[in-house]
Amino acid sequence: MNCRKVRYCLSTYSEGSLSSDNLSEVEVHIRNCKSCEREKFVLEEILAAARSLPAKTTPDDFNLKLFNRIYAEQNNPSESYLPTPVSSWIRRPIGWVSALATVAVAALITMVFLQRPVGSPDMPLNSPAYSQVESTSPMSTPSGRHVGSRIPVSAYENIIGVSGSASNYRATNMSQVRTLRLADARVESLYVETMRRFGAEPRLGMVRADSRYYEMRSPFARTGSNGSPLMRNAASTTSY
Amino acid sequence: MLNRETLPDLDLMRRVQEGEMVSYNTLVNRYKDRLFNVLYRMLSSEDEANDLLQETFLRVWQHKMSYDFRFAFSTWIYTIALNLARNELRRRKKIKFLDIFDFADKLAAKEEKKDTSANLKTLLDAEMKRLPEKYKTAFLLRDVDNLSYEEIAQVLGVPLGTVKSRVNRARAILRTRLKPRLEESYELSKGTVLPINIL
Repeated sequence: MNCRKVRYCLSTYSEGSLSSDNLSEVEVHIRNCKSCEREKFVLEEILAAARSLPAKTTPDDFNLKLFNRIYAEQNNPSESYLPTPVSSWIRRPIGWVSALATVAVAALITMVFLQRPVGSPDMPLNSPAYSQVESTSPMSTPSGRHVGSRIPVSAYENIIGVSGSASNYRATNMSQVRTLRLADARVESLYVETMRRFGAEPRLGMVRADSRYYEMRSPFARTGSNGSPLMRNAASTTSY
Repeated sequence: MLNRETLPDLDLMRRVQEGEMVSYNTLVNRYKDRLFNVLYRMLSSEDEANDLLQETFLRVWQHKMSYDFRFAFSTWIYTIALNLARNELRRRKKIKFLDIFDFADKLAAKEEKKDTSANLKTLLDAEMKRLPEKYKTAFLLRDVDNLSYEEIAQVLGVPLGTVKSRVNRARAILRTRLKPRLEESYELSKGTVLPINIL
């Protein structure tokens, strides 16, 4: 058996599930080959480390929160974030009406957004996160302008750290993301604070489809030449 | 008095189907930490892992009547949790977050590379995060969570051979990446005298 074959078998060997024929061959090879012995040592160390990785535990109030949600679910099934079984949904005539209404609203929103030009090269470049993005953006030029028809790098100016869960804020390109998904009040307060700093009015709206997040419309501008694009679009954004 | 802690999953699930919350609570306690670890290592975020775990157990409660007793409960609940995790990862890809914490992690990792004393578990944790999703999931379930290959195949809905191949591939990648760090330990374990500048 050569080194290549032995290394291929190492994974199975380390689990002790190699067939007896192969087992003796591999063992003899490893005894005589320093390099393969080293490979075996490395793999065994990795597997031992993997099995003893520090375990995380759920928060103390995990069960309490879970049972509260189940209780809320049972007492107010219409507020459910879980998908309703299809059979009962079809049976309800109101289900069809709301589905059609949702499709119509979604189509309208899509049309409105598709008509908007993307990005604005004349936005102020004063975001703290801007310099990081500029250096990593594949479409940026030394002047910070965009290449071709892609989104101008200056659109990244619209970055604020608001998305994801509370301890994991993310800087998001707000000109591309039309909704903010916020996990809890701490993120929400960060959003509100950021909006106020820009002089914009925060718009909040809860989305029932996914109980883990609050969802908010991005108040940022996509185009325009009069005044601050941030401000103007913030004023024109409607909450839902 | 009935001790639910010792009851098998299927017996508990039968009681859950009758609406018994105490049995449901026993199942939650039995699986929550195991699943939390898997979700945490997949998503690299305790908050998101916690959110998805809540959702996993909620779905178990919500769909308890559709549970099929021919399959292991563990397989069912892992499937729910991993599907939620994969959806979340897909959502992240679509939105293309610029994670400022990731950025900080990368900086820290660079610093760590210089620090030869960083222990193997920390390095392994960091390297696991860099694995492609399908290899990472297979490695996590097999080598961290200790599921059997058959269970993993059921949870992921892929053939047994595919699972074995993914686990082997993940191990091979990790072996290649961590080998330089482990060679010193190997020399020490063999009692080789190292040059003074290595020590």
